[in-house]
Amino acid sequence: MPPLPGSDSVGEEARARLDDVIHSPVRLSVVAALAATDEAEFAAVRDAVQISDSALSKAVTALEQAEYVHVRKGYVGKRPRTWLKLTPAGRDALREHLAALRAIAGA
Amino acid sequence: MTSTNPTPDEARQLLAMSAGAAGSLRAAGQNRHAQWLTGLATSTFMFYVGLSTIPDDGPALVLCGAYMASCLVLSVSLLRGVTVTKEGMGRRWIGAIRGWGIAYTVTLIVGLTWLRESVLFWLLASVVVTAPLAVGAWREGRA
Repeated sequence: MPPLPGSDSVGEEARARLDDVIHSPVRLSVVAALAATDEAEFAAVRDAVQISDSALSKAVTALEQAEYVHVRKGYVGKRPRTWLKLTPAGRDALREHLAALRAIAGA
Repeated sequence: MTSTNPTPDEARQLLAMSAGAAGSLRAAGQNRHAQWLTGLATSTFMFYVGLSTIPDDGPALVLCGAYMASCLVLSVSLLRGVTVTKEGMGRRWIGAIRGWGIAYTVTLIVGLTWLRESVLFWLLASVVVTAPLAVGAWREGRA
């Protein structure tokens, strides 16, 4: 069935606005989860997104390189902990990406 | 589902997935900060009600010590090891603590200086001082 007039241009424009860094479902989930927080501990993010430690580490590395996520190392008692925080650039990127997805979903 | 050209259905799935992840992480925080504010509100209320019934300084100091101990227990049990801080928590927290701090300081100075034996004053003050914390806890719980 051919697309309705105009909807293809909406979809194309929206697809052009998709962020290459966070388009991966894992990275999108991580960024979306962090957007609901000021800061979250690594294990909490892992459990919320339901992925392994290594998968989350890879995602965080990519997001940190893109300066979308800030990583802080700390301690709770004597136990080392890693804290993740979405940067303003990451929030902006997520907002744009979700807007593009909504445009595609509605197309 | 890693296509760079998602279909509308794929886009809807990605949106649902991202919303689910956000909700899960928000819930993982267990509202500890809201619980702390609620605990502090309760302790503060009881402290002021206690002051309304204790005219002597000695027992009042004991009550004060108990109040401080309860604050310490709350902080250690609820704030230590928090894994998730909800977005905007700092802003809500500062607002609640600032309101409590101002009301606490003013009511203590006024009460201890001029109205030490006024039961009505301490009971009214208990509500005034607790209100910012209760509102803060409610806002944090809803966030």
